[in-house]
Amino acid sequence: MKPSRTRLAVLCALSLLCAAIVAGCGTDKGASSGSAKRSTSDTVIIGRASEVTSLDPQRITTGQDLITQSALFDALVKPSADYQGIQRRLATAIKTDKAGRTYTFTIPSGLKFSDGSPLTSADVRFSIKWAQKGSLYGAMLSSISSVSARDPQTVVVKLSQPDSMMLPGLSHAFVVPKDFGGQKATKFFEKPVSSGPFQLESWDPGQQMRLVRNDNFREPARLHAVVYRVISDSNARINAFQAGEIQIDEYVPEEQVDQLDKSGLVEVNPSSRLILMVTNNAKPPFDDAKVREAASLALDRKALLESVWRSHGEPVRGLLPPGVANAVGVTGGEATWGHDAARAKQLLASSSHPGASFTLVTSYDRGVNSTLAEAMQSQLGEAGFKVKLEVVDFATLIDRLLGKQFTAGMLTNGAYLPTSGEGLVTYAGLYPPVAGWNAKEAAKFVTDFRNAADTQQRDAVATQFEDWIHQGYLAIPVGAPFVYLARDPSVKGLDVTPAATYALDGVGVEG
Amino acid sequence: MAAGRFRFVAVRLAATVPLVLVVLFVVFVIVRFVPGDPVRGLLGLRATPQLVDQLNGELGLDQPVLPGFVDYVGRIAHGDLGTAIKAGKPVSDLIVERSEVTLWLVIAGSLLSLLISVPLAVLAAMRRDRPADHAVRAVSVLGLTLPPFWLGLVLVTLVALPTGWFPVSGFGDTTVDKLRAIALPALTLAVGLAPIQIRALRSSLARVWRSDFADALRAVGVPTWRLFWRHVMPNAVVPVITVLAVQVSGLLFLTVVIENTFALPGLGEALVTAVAQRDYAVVQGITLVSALAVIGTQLLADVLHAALDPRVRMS
Repeated sequence: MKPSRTRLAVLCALSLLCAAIVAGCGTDKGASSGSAKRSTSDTVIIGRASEVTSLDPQRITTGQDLITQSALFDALVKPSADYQGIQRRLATAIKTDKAGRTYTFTIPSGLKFSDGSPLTSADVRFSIKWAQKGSLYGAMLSSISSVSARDPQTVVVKLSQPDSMMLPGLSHAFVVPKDFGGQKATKFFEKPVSSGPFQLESWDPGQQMRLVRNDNFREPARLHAVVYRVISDSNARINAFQAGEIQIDEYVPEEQVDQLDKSGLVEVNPSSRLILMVTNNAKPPFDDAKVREAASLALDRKALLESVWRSHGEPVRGLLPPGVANAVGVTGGEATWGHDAARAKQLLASSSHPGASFTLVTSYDRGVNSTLAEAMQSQLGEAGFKVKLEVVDFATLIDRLLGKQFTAGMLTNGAYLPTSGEGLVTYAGLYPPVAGWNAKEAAKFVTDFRNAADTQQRDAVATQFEDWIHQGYLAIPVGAPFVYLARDPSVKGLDVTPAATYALDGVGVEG
Repeated sequence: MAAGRFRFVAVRLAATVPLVLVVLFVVFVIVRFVPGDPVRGLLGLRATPQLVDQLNGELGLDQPVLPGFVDYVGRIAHGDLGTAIKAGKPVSDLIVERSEVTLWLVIAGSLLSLLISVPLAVLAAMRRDRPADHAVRAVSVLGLTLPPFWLGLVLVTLVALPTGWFPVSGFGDTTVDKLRAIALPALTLAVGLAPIQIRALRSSLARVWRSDFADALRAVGVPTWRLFWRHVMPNAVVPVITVLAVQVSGLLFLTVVIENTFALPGLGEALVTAVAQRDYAVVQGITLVSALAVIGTQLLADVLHAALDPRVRMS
């Protein structure tokens, strides 16, 4: 005897009903949705691709680090919005002597840290001296010979020689309490006392960080709170933005730009991001300058810009990241880094490595994607190169480059300071040992740039550097795509710099 | 009998120790031979060698492999799984925090898969070789072919975004929030798990339904519903427990995919991030927990199997 149809139907219906109840439990649209508590008028939720490296300003390595640390800590100066210069931040006045060796900064009286303790020139002095020891940006402050607190509102910085990189470098000398308020640095940065417009309320690394307004700051921020949610998958981030779970997406990859309504897109134009092909010039086939020139001429950068970035980018004019002061490009501009497939073929054929084959190691990260890598492979192939693509993750790419275990690799170089000096320091420090550049020549550009008396002289040094790179084809710039963020229309005052960073002070929510 | 069961469990537990050590050693060695310096990945290209060396020392990453492994096992024995590089907190804390989401996902997904698979398997078994059976089998094949990430994206695009009923990222604080956040991920997981369950249970039910003892019970007038639920189902479900245990072993892969699709801060998402960042301590910690979960599940399945089927002796 078989079970009756009725019993079976009831059984199935009950089971499906249970499934529906579990799946649809709490479908009240008005209730808060998951972790995605929608923003209130004084709170903004921001989605970011990865967690900050550290709250310690000595360890700034990404734009996220800089955005967060600028929110937590004040500094004497800050980059101008267009990244073409420096403007006052904490300092109310900056005086320079005629020799350009003494800078006197005045700060307001009555300043306080977030814990209510007074903020004086002694704290600023300590912070500058501490920033000088920083591994990543300390080099920008290397010409400072002494820092003194003349009185509670005056800081005097003396230089061993005039240095055009010092003021931009000071924008990363974030103000912390003298001696970290008696704590060790590592302990202090777990929950730092804030000198900036926001203070850290809670931080669950890898998941969420909540900043709240520092009411002791000299100009209280418009927002009461900012919540950073780490959503590493870009699709999930876009979905969260479209669902209203985050109001700002800090990074929208090029391939997803079309998914968003244009009114919500923030285009960072110009952007201080440059994508380049690093060649190992100490190793065949790129030990022959003809091969390097052939590779450069084989690349049709205009076509790459149109096809890979849908024309959302700048023409390539040099190796220094565009969008910052003195990034003037090579003599002759974009035409100098031009495309000539026939000449590329000819050069390669007459080089010491005709029909050169090499592996292009790349990470699909930070602006480099499969479309770009494959398009480059095809263009280089048309000139007679045999290119094998090797896709690795970013950590492996760095390992390969620093270990000189590469022939050619794709990298993205960005600038976080409003000076091309940052790019020069990076290239002079990193590329001679890795890519076989002449270290002395590279270092000379850094020195000349530091010593340049005015912006015209700095432009001239930057151009000389670009010409030096181009003449030897020491590295091959590929593209300068724009960067995109997504912003809910209710978010106002989001002014994004060419470094794709923004100050939270002015951000507010309306409507 | 109780002593036998206790001995069985104790022996199996003891056997897991060398197994876990082997798993730990393999993972420990593999992550260290994978290219990519974790500290360099954290600090970027511009970091000076001095800073890299300093942080390597702070994190204990400068030790050779064997002494490092011995040290690691010693610390595990004291409950210390190390410190997560990026998060800067104990791995054990991170695992506890992330486990909640994963447990919600696994439990809700597994329950949902049973709610889907049991009725369909019963229907198919009772209507063997009829249209309903063919339809259920076709549905289960279809379910097998759907990649979880694709199904997840479809659910987000076609259900969550248009309706606003379910969040598309993150986990909640209240139970209602959590249920809403987990509903679509659990459904995605359930669709991945159900097809195998349906096929296993259907075949087992059909076999037992037509067995001699079932015929004998029918002959003495046992009502159909009683025959089915009291005699057939308990016998048919035994092999399905083994299937479920095997499925649980593969759940880590599914949770990795689903947690990333729905931006759920669970163990799978933490594992993917940790691998990308070469956060050795986190990778090792999650692997250890996963290995223990798989071994525990297999052990539980064996115990259940023996409890449900007296023919299986615990020895």
